[in-house]
Amino acid sequence: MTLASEIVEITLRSLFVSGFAAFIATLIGLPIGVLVGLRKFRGRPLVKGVFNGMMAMPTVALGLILYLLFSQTGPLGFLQLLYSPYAIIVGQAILVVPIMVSITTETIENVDPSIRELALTLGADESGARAAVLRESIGGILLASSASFSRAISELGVALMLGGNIVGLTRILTTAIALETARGEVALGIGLAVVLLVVMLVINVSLRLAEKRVRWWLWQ
Amino acid sequence: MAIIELVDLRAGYDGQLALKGVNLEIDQGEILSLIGPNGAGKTTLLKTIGGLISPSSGSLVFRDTDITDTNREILRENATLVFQNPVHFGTTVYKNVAYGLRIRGVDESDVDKRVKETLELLGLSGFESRNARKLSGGEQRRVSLARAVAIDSSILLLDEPGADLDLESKRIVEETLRSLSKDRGTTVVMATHDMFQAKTLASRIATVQDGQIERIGRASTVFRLELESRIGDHPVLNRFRAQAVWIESDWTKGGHLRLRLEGGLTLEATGHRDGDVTIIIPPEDIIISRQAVLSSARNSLKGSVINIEASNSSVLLTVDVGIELVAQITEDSLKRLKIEKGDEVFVTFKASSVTVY
Repeated sequence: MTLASEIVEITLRSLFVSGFAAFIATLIGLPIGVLVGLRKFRGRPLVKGVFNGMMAMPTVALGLILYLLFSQTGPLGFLQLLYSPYAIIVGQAILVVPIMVSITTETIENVDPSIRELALTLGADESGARAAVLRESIGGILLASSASFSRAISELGVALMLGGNIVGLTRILTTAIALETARGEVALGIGLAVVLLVVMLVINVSLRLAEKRVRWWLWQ
Repeated sequence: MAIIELVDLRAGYDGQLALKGVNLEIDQGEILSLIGPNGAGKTTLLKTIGGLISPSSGSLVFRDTDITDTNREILRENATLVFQNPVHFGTTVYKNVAYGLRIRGVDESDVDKRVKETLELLGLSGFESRNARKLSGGEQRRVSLARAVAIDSSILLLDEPGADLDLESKRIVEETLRSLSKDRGTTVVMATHDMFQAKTLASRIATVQDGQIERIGRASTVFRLELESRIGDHPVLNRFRAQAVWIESDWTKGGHLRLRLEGGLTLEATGHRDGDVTIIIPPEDIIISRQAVLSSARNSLKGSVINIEASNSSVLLTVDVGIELVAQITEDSLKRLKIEKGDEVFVTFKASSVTVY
């Protein structure tokens, strides 16, 4: 395998693993974020505080906990996920769910309260009014997804501890950068880092550009 | 016939009562102005009538049915609130105006027809595909009103409809409200700080003070009573000290007053007073003319214009007639009479326009 094709393979794996992780995090985090953002309930500040705090979770600590769970002797060892891309997906998804929840909640809370009243006074019922608030939050929700993806694709600890950086199986951009730099292949490490940055930028810019389209589609 | 009736109604936010026992009957098709200082409860009253705030006690009757606890949705279907600060969905003018119709399941071809008709009514034709949030302040307010007008609500609730409006937008908004009330029988309730608008547009005025209706009645009656104090933050113009002499006469049953002001100026008023008094002459009751007019009004004075100031919806003209009298006229009248600073004009007002206390 040539160096170029290896870089392409690692890049595609990174995109798949972190894209999948961000997708799962969106599936779990978006409803939680919407719920916390829209509903008033007892213990809400505590829930928000916990998710906010978990945004700063050290990746190696999460990697270690999941390693213990997924190891042969661990309670989830029977799943045989350790050292597979799926372990990294699970780990990264858990890592970024708090980002998804926190940004979504914050976005919804910051929508002008009059939007809900506007929908109600024009004849919408409660669920219609909530839908109107969500439509206004779409920019923030897309930001939450792109931030989640960016965090996932740029993290190292979870990928290294759960994936093991196995060539052709679990090697992704961040683990490859760490390995090449440790081996003294600094130039290759820099090249991979540039690829990582370009991928992140392209994905984020694309999402921002898609926002207008999504908004238009939501109003159909 | 009353469309809405509030009986000892209390309501507020987060346990804080903003309405403290409101009793109010609003007639079908009338235009009712709510005036009062900031924080008096005008917006809360509008939101309660609009079904956006639940009353904590008292009763709320809509078309003879008590809906206090049962079905406030009926209010949201029949009453539409136009907010003080224009708020729009983040989309085009067309989709904003179509929103209420689509919510009601109106057929798409009818939606199109009604949106276009409404936009034309409010001078917004051609704005369909513009982003509602990127229009000028006046245009945004007209979009807010268009959204409410399109759904043809029985009750239109307006929070400060004249605030920060350019004269053209104000004229369009006021004409639309008049025509809705007259032609469609729409009931209009508006909170306003604009006394001129309240007086010229509304059939009745209610003053709101500390969560209660203080006075309600025909505009002229309420204004006369209110002029004895300050309303909100609005200073009373044309207040002077005078010496009153009561004169028995035939032209009013109770006689009339001759008022001698500082500088020897004499005015006539109605009432029964003697000695030191304070008088107020409402600026909107003063007629400005280029020549002396033969009229039934007892007070006609000549003076020179010393100041011209644009007000919210009109023009304030200060005329030196021995005292400095402020008259409120429309911009159109100012242009028509071609009045400029330094010009000589006549001010005319009825004896009954002078409040003496």
